Amino acid sequence: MLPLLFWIPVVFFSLLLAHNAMLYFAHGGEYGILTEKLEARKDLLWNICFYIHLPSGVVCLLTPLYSFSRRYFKKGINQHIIAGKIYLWTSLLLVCPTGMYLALYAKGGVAAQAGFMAQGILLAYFTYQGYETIKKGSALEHVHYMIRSYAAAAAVLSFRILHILFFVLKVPYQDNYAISQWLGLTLNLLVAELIIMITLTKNTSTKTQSL
Amino acid sequence: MKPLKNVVPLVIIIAAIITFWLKPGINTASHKRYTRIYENTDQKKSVNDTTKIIPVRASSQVVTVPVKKKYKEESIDLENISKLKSSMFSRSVHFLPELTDSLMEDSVNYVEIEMEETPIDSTNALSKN
Repeated sequence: MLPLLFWIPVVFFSLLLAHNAMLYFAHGGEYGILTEKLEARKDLLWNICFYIHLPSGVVCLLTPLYSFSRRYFKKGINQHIIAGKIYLWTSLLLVCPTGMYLALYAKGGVAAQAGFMAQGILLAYFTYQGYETIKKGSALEHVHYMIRSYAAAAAVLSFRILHILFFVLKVPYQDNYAISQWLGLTLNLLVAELIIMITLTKNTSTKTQSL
Repeated sequence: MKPLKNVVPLVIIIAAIITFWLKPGINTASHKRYTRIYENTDQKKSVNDTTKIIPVRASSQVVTVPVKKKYKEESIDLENISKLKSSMFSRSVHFLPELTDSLMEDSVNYVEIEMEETPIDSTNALSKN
């Protein structure tokens, strides 16, 4: 029951964000944040990064939903590997570099820009470590790193939720952007560490019981 | 990486962000009102046929500037935050309500004209002149 309470809102917000991201292609031109990005839009590289980041970010956000649900598809190891490879290469080659370039133009000042940059670096680091650990055959470490990696990727969801929450709490707009980013990222990483800790203690308790 | 070693610094960072940066109740917005304007983005620019050269006198040249049609304008008054609509935060509904109205305004009315075939009596016309 508890995993469902966690996954239902995560899936809902992931799909909502994916839908909103795709609307940029449907409406084009001056839509969403593009109306605010007058300076950035003059930069061709920013435009390229933006339109690569949108679909690849959606892939990066949705593929882990399948990968983490592997226990419901016991025979789906091959699909898990395929989904994992899609996530790995999309994150490392597309999402992180484009996201870090977009971060240079992020609103909310240097603090917010550093927050988005940190998210890109952490996502790349954890994803690569997850790949390295499974290559070495350490499945448990792989799971831990992939949980951390997804926590960094899903910071986009908590960022938006916190942004709305702080807006209602009347936090100044510029501060709100940076605070939501940093708090979203750190809260997600904290939740990831807590999940890892809980699963580790569960594993050790079952091992001692079997002994 | 031991999870507990990671949990402690993360908790410290989060607590620091909340107490020193977010400062609940202290760090409040000075502005009272936010306004967001949604414009028509569906209008396509008309492309002129550059292959045709039309001689136009300088005096008769009229420069037309395309005016962006406003879909809607929404304001959030922080004094009445309880009246906040959830649709303010959804990008998918930005274009829906006013889209039909604007399309109605922009639509071109096609009128069918029935042409009656009447023979032209050229001889009569010439004889009158």
